[in-house]
Amino acid sequence: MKKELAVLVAVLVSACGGDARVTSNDPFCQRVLPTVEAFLGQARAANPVPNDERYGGTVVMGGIGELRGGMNPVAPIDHSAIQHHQFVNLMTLIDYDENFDARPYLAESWDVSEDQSEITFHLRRDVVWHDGEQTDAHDVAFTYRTVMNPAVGFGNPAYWDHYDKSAEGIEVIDDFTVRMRLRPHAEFLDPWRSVAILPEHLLGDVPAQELAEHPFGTQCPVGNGPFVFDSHSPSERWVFVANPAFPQGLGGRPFYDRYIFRVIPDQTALLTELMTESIDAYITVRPNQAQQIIDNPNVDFLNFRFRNFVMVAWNARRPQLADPRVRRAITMATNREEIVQAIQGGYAVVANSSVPPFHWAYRGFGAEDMAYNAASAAALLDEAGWIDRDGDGVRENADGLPLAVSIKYNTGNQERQDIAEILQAQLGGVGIRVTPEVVDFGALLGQISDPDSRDFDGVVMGWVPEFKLDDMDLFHSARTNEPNAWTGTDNPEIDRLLEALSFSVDRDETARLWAEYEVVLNEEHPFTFFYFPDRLTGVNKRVRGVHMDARGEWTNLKDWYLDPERR
Amino acid sequence: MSEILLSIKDLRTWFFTDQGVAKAVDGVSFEVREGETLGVVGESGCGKTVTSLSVLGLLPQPPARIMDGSSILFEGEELIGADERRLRGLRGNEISMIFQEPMSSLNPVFSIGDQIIEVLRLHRGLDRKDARVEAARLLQEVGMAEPDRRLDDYPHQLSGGMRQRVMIAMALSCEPKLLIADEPTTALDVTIQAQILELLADLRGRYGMSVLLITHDLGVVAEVCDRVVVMYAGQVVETGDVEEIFADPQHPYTRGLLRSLPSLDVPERRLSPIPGMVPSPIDWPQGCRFRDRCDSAGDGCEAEQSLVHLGDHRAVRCWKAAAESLGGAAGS
Amino acid sequence: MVKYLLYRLVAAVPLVLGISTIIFFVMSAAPGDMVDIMIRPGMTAEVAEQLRANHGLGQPIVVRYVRWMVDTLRGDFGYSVLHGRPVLDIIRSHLPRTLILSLTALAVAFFSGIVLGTIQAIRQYSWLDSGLSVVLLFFYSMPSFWLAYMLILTFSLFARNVWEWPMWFPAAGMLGTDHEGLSFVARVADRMRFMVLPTLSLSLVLTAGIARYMRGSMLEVVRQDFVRTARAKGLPERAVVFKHALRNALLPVITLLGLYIPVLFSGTVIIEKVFAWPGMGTLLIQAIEARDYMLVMGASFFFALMVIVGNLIADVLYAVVDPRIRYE
Repeated sequence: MKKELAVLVAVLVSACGGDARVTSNDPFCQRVLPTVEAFLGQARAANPVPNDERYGGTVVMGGIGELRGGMNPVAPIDHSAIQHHQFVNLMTLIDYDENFDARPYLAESWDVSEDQSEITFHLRRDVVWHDGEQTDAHDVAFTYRTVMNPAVGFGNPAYWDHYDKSAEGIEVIDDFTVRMRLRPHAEFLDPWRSVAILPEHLLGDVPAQELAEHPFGTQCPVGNGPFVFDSHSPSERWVFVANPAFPQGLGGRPFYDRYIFRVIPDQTALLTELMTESIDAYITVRPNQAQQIIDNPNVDFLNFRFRNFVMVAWNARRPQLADPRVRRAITMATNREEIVQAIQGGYAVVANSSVPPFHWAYRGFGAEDMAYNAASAAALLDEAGWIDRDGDGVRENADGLPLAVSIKYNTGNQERQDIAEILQAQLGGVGIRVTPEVVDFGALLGQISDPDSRDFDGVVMGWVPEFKLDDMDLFHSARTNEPNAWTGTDNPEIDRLLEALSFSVDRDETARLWAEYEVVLNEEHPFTFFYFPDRLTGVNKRVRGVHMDARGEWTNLKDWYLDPERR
Repeated sequence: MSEILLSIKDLRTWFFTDQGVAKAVDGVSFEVREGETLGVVGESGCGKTVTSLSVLGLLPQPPARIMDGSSILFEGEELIGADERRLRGLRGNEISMIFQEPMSSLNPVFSIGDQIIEVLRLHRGLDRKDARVEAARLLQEVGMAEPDRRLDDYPHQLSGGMRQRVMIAMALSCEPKLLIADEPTTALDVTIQAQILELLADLRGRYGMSVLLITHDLGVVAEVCDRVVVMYAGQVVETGDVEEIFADPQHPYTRGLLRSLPSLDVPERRLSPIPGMVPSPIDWPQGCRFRDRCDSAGDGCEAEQSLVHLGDHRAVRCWKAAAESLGGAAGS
Repeated sequence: MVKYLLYRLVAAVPLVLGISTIIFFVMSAAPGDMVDIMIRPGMTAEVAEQLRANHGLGQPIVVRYVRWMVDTLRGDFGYSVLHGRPVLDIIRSHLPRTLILSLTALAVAFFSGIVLGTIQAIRQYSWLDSGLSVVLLFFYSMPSFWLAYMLILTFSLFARNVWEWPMWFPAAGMLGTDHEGLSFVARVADRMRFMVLPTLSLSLVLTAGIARYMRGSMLEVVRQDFVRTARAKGLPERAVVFKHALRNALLPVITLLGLYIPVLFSGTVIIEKVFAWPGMGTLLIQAIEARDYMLVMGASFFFALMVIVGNLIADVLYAVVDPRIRYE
């Protein structure tokens, strides 16, 4: 009796526990998926696995969030998802080498005209979509028109500010050659490193408004990259298999057979899974977990400087914060070096501008006069007319307005809460009353992005610039009603420099302009820059050939291989 | 003289509580013969229920304890200290018991049929079908109409009288030699009472079983009992045949009981209850336990009283009564 | 009886719709909509407006509500922005996963709670009784997520890495990496292995409550007259306790079933996150954070439905066990 019961229970468990593989009911996908399967079958037959012991195995990576939008490059921006477009399932025209210089990828080569108003890309002829169709110039043209079409709602239109959005902007010369027109500007190739090419033969007929949500992204991606989509179980895992037909010139079929991305929304669980060797890599490790990973003999700890920085943005429209001297004084009154140690465990570098430390334009702008110095801060505040007139420990101006600010930060982020609270303590020491305020992330973004209200004094935020640095959105006065112009900066010098920077093509010239810009920005001081946090990752030692840097964690995913003995 | 079926000798059942030791049954002895109906009479708290529960070992042994020196013989077999399996074999089988509150004595979530069938299958080893047929027959025996339909009814669907019939059916299902009935009619109204008593008398005749009937109601005793045991404060104070007890009660307590009955013969006579209250079993008084309430108490009552036999079925625990009855001999 | 059931089911419909309506308006009132979440460097106000238009967010709230209501009544729960699929598809894949976890936890909790409570009642005042009381109180006082982490630490991390036990359990997920390649038996075993820790986290807390309740109920029932009758019939003690007493003692515990079902589902939400169990709880949290209206509505609808059905089942069970209710 008991045995029958156990069997019944077991059957129920497996039957009712939900699908391991979630099939798609969408007609588009039902058409597309069999073609992918057919292609895989043919490709495998045509390209047998080479006799090299590095081939084989499955690599499992764990990350905290679902890949929003899946493999659709025009879906809302999700940084992990974008890396999957770039390095896993799709291909970009170019990518960067270790020095962050452009090198060929989908584009075999390119020519830039003398006056830098035209780029002609020559595409590889051996790249094939995962349903067998050739990747060609029509796909590139389709992609170009799509991302610039306002109806699509591509998330980062700043990329295309200086590209020609008219019908002449893109021209298909022949099946593998395409020409783009643009106004000469800085880092004009950068967008093509991050935006992957879409398949025109599959998506060409889709109405613009529906592209971003199309089931192509999450249910049946068809890419042309080193890994072919196998299955996606929503909020659980993505499974990809190696593409046997990936061009030999780019490294050929990846070494391992399968790549799985598991969504695990809890960082403790991620760490445990890494330590029990249930996943091979754990992305975005928290600083306080680093030591455990270092101590574990089976796991390597990797860290690298990345592009994003953490800062407090000040709303210059508020009377207490209108004077740049006050904002500079705040920065001087904050011991940012200590904060780096305390919050990031040393895994970060203090920031003084938006130029990341690995960037070629980085000159180590230290602003020694912005270093921690409470006395100077106090002096500056006195000079600006903020003095504690009634002896309550808080400074007031001549009208009696107290120097009190609220600093908002979002829920679920311990790091930002810590910053807000440390500021409260340290600024309190120089007579500034700080009130930390926690707000739900969505609500917070709503509050600071609304051009009519900009409801905040200070906000702890993070910002992820592209390799093409561009602070226009943040500080240019013409953008003042756009969502990202939180601070209300209106400074003609900054405007002039930002405009010059967006058109400066020569790197040396650009570096000089950045240096000049950094000085002016420091004077204006709309942000208190805090630090550039390192990205921390734990990778199981059995995975070889892993290299991670500011290009992303997945940068050389296709070149990894597994230790044959530990597969 | 018929055989002695049940023989209780010097039974002492004490309860060990935090407040002290309650000597609920403190040296009780009597017998039940084959075929006879013995009534055990007394006020609440005199120990009659505890006595009956002691027979079948239905008292939880902490806090209750049957003290050494007690003996209960059933057909010559000692029940005190007997193996639990033996006792279970007797319960519901050779010795059955029915209780006072038929509603709470039946399990509310099982049908009455199930509860009767349970006993049948347990002791008589019947299979389901046969047991069901037999259960219906038993219900008919106890006078229930439409017994087959009734089998699937639940206790809450029946009236008090019917439930008691069910209890009786259950108790009789294995044709016990001894039926212990603890206040079977107390919770029922008078007309039903009469029916149940009649039923008991009838069944006793048909099955030839002995009945140990516990009650505080002398009217019931008069109806059905052959002999009577009167208990007070944990002891037997008088025994005798029914007619004798009613005609010529010896013990002052018995007399008081009879006097306190309302009489139809002399309607104007005022009720005369026995004054005072039963003492606490934790603290029985020294000497005669009825002394404080007795109207003929005097010297000699402060000594421990023993049960004095006055004849074949007669005994009394009162030196005065004994003295008068035996005509001055023995005395204190 | 059947009539009563039908009546309850019919009454459930407006209840569920009412709950969903409230959630709809609360969600709409929450500051920040789904487009706000998407704001990234380079996004302009125009793009934001375009996205809003694409998702129909610009329309007045009443219009959106009516459209939603009409669609829902037709069985169309809309499209999930977060996952890029119809909401019903997503829920269809996630609901069974939550159910299997909750129902297993419920069964484990009730079974063990009833057994432990009964044992405690039978052996009242013994060392076993007191010992169990202490242990159960410990688990009763634990928040389920703390318990979850402790279990992970003990049976996953330490068991494997430090103590090297032969059997250890995974810390997260629902299926193993190579699940699909396994035989049927191996797949069942794989699934069960992943279920152990989450189920324990959910059920231990409930077990404690049920055991305490059961103990009290049993102690009370055992004093009842019919238990004495059962003994007087000569039944072995086992039958007296487990047949006669238990069934009566179960009655109040079954009320607990109805009460615990919503508790269970809210506990599931937390446990699913800790164990990365891809069920309704995870779905709901992600959807709320991303302001994916359609998914929040759909998921809430089904949650409400599950709770109502659960309560209904509890009521039916009560009538099954207690004939007095049945014949009213």
